[in-house]
Amino acid sequence: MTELLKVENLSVRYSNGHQALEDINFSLPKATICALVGANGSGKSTLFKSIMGFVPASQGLVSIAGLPVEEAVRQQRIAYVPQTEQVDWDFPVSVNDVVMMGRYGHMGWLRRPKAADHEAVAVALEKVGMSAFAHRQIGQLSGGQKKRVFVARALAQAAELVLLDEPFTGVDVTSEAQIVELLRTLRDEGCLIVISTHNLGAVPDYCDLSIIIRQHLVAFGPTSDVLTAHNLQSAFGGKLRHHVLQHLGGESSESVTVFTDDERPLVLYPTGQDQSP
Amino acid sequence: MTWLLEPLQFEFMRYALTAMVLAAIPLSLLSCFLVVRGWALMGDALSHAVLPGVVLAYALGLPLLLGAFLAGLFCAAAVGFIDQKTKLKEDTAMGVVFTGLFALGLVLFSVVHSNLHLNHILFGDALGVESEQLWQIGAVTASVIVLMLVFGRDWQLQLFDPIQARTMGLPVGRLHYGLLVILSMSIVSALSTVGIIIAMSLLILPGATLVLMRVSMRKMLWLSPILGSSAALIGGYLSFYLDSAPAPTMVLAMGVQFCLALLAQQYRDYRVPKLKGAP
Ligand SMILES: Nc1ncnc2c1ncn2[C@@H]1O[C@H](COP(=O)(O)OP(=O)(O)O)[C@@H](O)[C@H]1O
Ligand SMILES: [Mg+2]
Repeated sequence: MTELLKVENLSVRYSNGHQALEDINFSLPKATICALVGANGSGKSTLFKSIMGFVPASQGLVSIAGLPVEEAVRQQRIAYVPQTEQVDWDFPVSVNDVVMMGRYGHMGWLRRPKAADHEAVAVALEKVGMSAFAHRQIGQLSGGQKKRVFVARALAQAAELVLLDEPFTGVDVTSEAQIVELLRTLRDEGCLIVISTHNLGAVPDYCDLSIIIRQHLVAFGPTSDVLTAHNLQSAFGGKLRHHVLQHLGGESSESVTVFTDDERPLVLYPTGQDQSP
Repeated sequence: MTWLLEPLQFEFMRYALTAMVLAAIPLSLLSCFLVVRGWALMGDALSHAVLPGVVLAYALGLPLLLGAFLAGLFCAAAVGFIDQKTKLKEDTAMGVVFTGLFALGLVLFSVVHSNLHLNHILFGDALGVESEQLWQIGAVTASVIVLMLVFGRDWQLQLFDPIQARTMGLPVGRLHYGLLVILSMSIVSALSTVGIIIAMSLLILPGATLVLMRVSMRKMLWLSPILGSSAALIGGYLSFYLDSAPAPTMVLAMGVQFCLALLAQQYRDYRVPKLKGAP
């Protein structure tokens, strides 16, 4: 198992004195989808930003394929879709132009796109189902469509490590399924994808590994080991809707535990295997 | 055809036209970025802020352009410093630095007894351009064009989405200051020809006209120098026949371009709902 992303003893303290992350340790291999789960304010976005080096770590090390982050960034190894884009929506660029920006790192220093770049952009837009909007100005899209364009740009960048910070906010169920499908293909091509989401019910479907954080690392490992009632309770406290249902049909009085943080609940059966309705 | 050639018989007119076209090109290129980014007033502010540099250079017997350029650089650096080290917004930082420097310039101007013409600094002296100045302006114009060809797309990305620029490992700091440096250079090089106030309108009008025409940034960067330099030519010729000052006449020409674009946009907006409503 070759490690692609390694985070060691990472702590982040904001300038206002708030300790957002404390002593986070994990390492992730290639060809993996890893979920990053935690309540609002648990430090998910901060973790992404500090992996990118946008927020300075007060302590600890992040390395990508053994390289320091700045070097990995220079080699176009990381694509990052932030939770909120700090983008100028009135900027006169089309959807196509935006996705093409993901290709800059692959172009010469004059940044003139070649046939391969146009091809990569068209394929990426096709994959997120946004081809029909290629010539729209970027501000003239809905929230979910904008998100899909930025996912397409991350795809066009052809990075090894893809960081997606809550990419499903504002995205409808069909597009979400489309993006999940896409992540699976990326994984099969050898990418490591780290994705933060509140859609707990879908996590076991496509995430091989999971990380739960709440300032500290609550749990890390294979998804089925990590998303347990105990871990979720310690991560979310009372913030998660949590129902214990009696098995109505069965003779036994076994109970089913249902966790919901978002529209799709996570259902934990007593046997340990989980299913989503 | 004689009307086209007649002004060209005069050397001062040939120089004035060339200088105006050369000065207009870099400023109109940069206007695309400034207008889209909502930094229209930054050009204004920067053009005023070079005044103390000009006055000090005069007092010290240095080339005026050098003084103006150094003042421009100082501004850019001071704004960057305040922006990065404080919570103030960048436009506030610009306002503080630039008005302060302009005020300093005015005070220095009245203290240092000079026979500098404030009018020439403010409004330029296109008809007094000499061949040596033409070379200076030409050099600045050529370097701005080259830099835009090489870094234009990186600047676009940085202005549109600074986080992505960093994600892709672009040297964001150098790009930011580089843009401010070529902005100062272009303003300074235009000062002697068109003056501070006209330089400012060159930094706003072509970009504003193109935003009304709703063209993409890529096309804006092609069209803006065409708008700017055609306005310079039209303004130059008109001024010859109207016996008016060339630089303000050029601004008028850009004003007409802007109004035409505005009319065209209104016409388009008026037609669209009609088309949709048609059976
Ligand atoms: N720029 C900042 N300065 C100070 N505190 C911050 C800043 N950004 C986030 N925080 C705080 O850090 C904590 C983690 O935030 P964040 O990483 O955005 O959480 P999440 O993405 O999991 O919702 C929160 O308590 C938040 O208030
Ligand atoms: Mg977040």
